[in-house]
Amino acid sequence: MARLMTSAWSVVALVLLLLGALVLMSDATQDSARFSEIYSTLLVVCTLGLIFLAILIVANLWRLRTQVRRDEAGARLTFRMIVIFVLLSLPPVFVVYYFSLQVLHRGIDSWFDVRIESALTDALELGRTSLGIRMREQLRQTESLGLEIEVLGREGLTLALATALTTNQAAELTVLSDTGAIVASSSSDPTKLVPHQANSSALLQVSPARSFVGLEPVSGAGLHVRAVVELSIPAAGGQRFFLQALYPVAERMNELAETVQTAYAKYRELAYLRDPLKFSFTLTLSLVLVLSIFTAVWTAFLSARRMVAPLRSLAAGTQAVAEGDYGTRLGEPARNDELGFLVTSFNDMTSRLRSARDETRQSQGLVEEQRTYLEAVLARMSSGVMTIDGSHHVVTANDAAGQILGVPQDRIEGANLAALAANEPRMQPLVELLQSQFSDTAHDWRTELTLFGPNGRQVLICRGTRLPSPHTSASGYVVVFDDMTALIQAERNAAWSEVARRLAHEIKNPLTPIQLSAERLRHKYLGHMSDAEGATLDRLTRTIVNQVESMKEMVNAFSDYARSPTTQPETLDLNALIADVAALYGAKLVMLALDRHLPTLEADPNRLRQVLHNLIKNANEAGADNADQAATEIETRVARTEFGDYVELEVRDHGPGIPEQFLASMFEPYVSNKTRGTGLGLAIVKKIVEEHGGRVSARNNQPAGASIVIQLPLRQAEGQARGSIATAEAGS
Amino acid sequence: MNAAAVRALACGLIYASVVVILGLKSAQANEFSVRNAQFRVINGVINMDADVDLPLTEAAREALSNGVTLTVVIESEVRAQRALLWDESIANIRAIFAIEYHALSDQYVLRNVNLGLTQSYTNLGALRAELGRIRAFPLIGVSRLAADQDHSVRIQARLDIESLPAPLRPLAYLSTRWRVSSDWYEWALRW
Repeated sequence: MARLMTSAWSVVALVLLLLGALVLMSDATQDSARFSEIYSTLLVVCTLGLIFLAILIVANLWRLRTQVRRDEAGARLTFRMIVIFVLLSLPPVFVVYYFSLQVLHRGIDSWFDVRIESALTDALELGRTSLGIRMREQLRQTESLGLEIEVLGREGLTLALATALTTNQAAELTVLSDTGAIVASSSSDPTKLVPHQANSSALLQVSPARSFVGLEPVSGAGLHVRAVVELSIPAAGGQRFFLQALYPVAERMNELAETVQTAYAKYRELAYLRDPLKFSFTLTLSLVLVLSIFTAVWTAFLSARRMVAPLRSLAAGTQAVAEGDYGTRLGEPARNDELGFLVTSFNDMTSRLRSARDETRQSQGLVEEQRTYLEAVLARMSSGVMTIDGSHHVVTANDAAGQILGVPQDRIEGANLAALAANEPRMQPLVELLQSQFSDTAHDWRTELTLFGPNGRQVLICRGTRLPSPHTSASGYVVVFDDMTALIQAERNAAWSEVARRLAHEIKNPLTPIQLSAERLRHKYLGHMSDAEGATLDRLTRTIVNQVESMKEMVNAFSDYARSPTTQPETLDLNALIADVAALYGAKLVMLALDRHLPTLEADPNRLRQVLHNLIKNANEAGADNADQAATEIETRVARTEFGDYVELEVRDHGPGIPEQFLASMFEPYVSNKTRGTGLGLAIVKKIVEEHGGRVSARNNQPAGASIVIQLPLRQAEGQARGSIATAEAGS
Repeated sequence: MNAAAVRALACGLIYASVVVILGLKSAQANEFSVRNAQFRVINGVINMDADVDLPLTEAAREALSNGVTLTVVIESEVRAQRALLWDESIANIRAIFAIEYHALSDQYVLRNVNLGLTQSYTNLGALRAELGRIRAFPLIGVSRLAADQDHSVRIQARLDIESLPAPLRPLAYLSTRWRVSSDWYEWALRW
């Protein structure tokens, strides 16, 4: 912009200079003596200046054309504006030029009047005529003088001439030969040594018959009449002699003649210069026209560029913003019109965009941080977290969820709940729970859920809540579940042990004194009583002691049940254990059908022994009433269920079977259909089996009998188990 | 600006100026010419005798008969030749003559502007003949010539356009009918 302005000022200076030159030129054209000498220089200067301006304009045009071709911002608008400016400014200039020319020509023409010219010509003619009369007279005088001196000899010539000078009022009398040699001379001007020379052409004209007379302007002395007469003097060698007389014209006449002559000459010159003058003025005017046109065009360029400049920078800035560079700032314009407002608004907009973008970036960063934090927390959590969307798709599931459920996390994530239940049957209860909760409750819920998976029985505490979704109307859910199995187990154990300990202690305390008292009674009074009384005392005290024994047993059994020692698992061959235990009973009572390829287990042998004993006892007792006396059967096998691989242990009896109403609750403590016993046997079995992560169930067989089925999970390396099971299957 | 455009413009300008110069040059149909230059020493000043042919164009004569004063300039330049540099100009003399037509007496007046002398002639031819006879034209004092250098003298006779009335000057410059001047004739200066 600054460059534009400095070049603008220099062009303005040039234009002013050219204007000045043109003014001087027009002055000089009117024949002012001041600038006449430099007229040609001015002309050259003006022409060069205009050529320079023309080049400038052509350069600008070319640049504009290139800009329009390249489709630069604002180029077309600049072009349109320039065209408008030029169209606005040129017609008036041309109109003025045309009319000025007309006025000029007519003005110049008006200087010349035919009547004045003819008047001057007539005046000149008059002058010539009057002078002519005088001239002829003086010629006659000269001729007569010539005749007079013809007869004189050379010697007397000078004297005669001097005399004739005053007589005839001549300025000079000279006799000369045709070669121009002066024979004699006489002049009225004493200072004059050399007489005026007649031009040879005049001499040539003279002949005896014809003399010469003419006017002659002499410098410093005005007009003179020159008369040349040939003297007929016989001379040797054919030399001819002439008499030349110079007569001054009267002063007054001289003056007048001079005036007329000057006026006439001036007017003739002016008349002759009329056309050149017109041409000069036209030239000057044309130069002015060209200068005006060039100035108008160049000014059009300048002002159009200046006006469009903000638009160009605006267009460039907009492009930059569109490409994502929000740092663009346009220079504040100096003026406060609409374009300036546009520029200010643009700057506002870009700065707001920039700050908005920065804020977005910042919040994005924060969101990223939060996400990362959340992901880290979720990944490390021990609780399983699942989010489910409105269409029952699992959106996210953390690693703990996969671990707890025993399904790989990537299988859970993204799956539909129904599909998940179909593919992973162990998850069925959970899916059913979720589906029911999702459709029913609108508030947070919390339930306990039992799953039976490859790791055994699991108790999960599930908590769920709705996730309001801002985008869709169907909200999602988030479910958090914890594997409480071990915890519950431990809690229960702790609670029971505490109760059992206290109870056992409290009950046992009075039992001993009772028993002791009874025994002392016996001891003390049995000997001193009659047989009948003694027998009664004996019977009664025995009853007391037996019952107290029985109570002690019960309390011990209970205490045993409650305060069970911690399971100490070791790698165990179940078949061997069973065989061991069965051997105690004998083959008559217990029959074995053990899978030879049973893999080893992680279990506590002592506890399992207890289990086996309890079950065998129960089975034997149930089958004791059987007429066939069939033995209890113990069978082991590997079960590949949909839940996973288990070792199954079945204890089959041939008894009457289990009454329906007991089936559900027979493993609860103190539930028994036997008159004897603590009622804790099956409860203990269940406890132990569950401590091993297994499951115990009972069913009635067809046609008769019942079975107790224990499922214990296989807890060794998958590969090994699979291998053994595969061979088992192949073998069987 | 486009480089091609610059080239075109330059070529155009050069072409135009060449045409103009050639045109001007070839317009010297009626040329003044200087002949028969002879040099002699008179009173320690080298003088020149020469014959100059001064044909005046139709346009010039018309102007003359309409009262315009024509100025004829005869210019001489004495140069010393130097070996390495261009020749040095050591004397430059201009003789200016004015030719006028005197309507009343129907005579042509020749005026020597330097000396102030006038001479009238009945016809232009006589005037031109007289003007063309250059006798005893002083060039330079002998003492000013260095002995060890060669000297040359250049003579030009021309019609001075700058002394014409201003309106005539543009026409005189542009039109071929007015450009009357001789070439620079050069002689070695020997006396």
